[in-house]
Amino acid sequence: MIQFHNVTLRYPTGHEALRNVSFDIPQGAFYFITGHSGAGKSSILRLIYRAVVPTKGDVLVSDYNVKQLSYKQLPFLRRKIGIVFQDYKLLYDRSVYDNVALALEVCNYPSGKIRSRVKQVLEYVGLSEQMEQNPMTLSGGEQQRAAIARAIINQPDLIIADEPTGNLDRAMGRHIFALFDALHRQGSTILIVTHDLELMAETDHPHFTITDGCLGG
Amino acid sequence: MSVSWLSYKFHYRAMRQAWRHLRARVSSYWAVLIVISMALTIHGIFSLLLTNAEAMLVNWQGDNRMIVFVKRDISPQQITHLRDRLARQPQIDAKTIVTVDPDMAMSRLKGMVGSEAALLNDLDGSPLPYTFEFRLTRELSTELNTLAHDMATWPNVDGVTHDRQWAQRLDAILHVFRQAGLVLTVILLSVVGLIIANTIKLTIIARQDEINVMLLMGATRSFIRAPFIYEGVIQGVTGALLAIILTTLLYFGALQEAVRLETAFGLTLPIHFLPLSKLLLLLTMGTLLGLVGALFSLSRFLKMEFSR
Repeated sequence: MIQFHNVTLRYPTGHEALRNVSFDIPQGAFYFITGHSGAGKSSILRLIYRAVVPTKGDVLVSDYNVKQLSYKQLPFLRRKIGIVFQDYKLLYDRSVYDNVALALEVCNYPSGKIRSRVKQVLEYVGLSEQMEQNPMTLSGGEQQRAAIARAIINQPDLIIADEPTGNLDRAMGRHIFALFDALHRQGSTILIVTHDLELMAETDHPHFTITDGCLGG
Repeated sequence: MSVSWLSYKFHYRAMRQAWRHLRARVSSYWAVLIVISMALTIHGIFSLLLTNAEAMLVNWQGDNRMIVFVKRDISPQQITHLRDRLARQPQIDAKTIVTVDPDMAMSRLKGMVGSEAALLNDLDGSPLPYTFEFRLTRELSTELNTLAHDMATWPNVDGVTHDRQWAQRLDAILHVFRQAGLVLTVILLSVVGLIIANTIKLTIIARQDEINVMLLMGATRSFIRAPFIYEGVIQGVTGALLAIILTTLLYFGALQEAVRLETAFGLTLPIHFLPLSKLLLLLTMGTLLGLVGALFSLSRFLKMEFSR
């Protein structure tokens, strides 16, 4: 599903975020990536959804080589990936419903079916009551669940999450992890970047550790 | 599921989004609308003036009339000889030759000056010369001046005038006006295009978060661009429609003034409105302005966003 072959990433500022990183995440797997702040964890995710291009090496995601991807192909790679951010990236000028529905509109989902699909997913993440509310009025955990709903609504092959519990308390963190677990059981490939080792230890999923841009155990 | 920009739903959604953008910033929408309509109205007024001047020109050119002024104190035989010579010219329609004697010319002049004609009664006889008025057999735009110059050298001929002389002068002036109008239009439209581009750029900046999120969710370039393009086109089209309304109002204002002048001076001042083709041109210009303005501001931004 995800293959990194000797990937080096150097930003235009000259900072080398990743050095010669190689790994392989098979389809249907659940992996964590851990490491201290600035180690290069988020850069791995940015490479997967091609916000950045590797300086050296190859990144293969769902049969796409991100380095060789044209701007016309890029949207189709991103539709295969559900992305969850630490800062949620919700739009605060519209309701929770509209935020989630946007992901379907972007993919030209039949408009007649959008409402029922959004309701179904919001129910799944436990937000059916807050559907018409502005995300601003929701708690951190609820906002993160709305972001997850938006990420999974297109039933992507791969779900990646960047510090999804970073702004949440332990109980809410557990709840969010449980949600990812459930999605994994349904067949999704999951890759989560986290520095919350305690929460990670509560699960039995494998993990990579990034230290100063290099991959460890 | 692929996003098809050919589908009706795609454009319906884009138009709805564009309308939402415009409603969200009504004041700047109106400001842009006023600028577009003003620029296109200036172009419309220019077109109106040129259309009427060109119609006048066509009338003059269509007349194809010439007048030969005869020297004073020549004998009736010489007059007859001159008339016969004119009638023999292949370029002149002999049937149309009219000999205007000095008395006839004087009575025409009195008719033209109206109530002031009594002043001319004090003159000792008519000081006006014999003239021959006639029409040419066909359009002679290039040979006309040569013919006039040639006839002016004939014995007993004092001078030759033709309507074309005025038409040619007016045409030369109109040519300058057309060129100036073109330059003015290009400058105005460039400025308006830049204003539209800047307004859309501001909308893009204001909606940058939304665009970024949509890009991360797999939105195509056309999906992102379409609402902004519609926004530009809506502004261009409504600006052009406003310009057409303003030009029409100005035309009716000018028409009323023309009626007053006609009544006061006994003149005929036909004023024509812009033909449909020129109205459609205004509308097309507005549409293209909006389109180009939007594409201009989008091209750089999206290139940057997609390469991130």
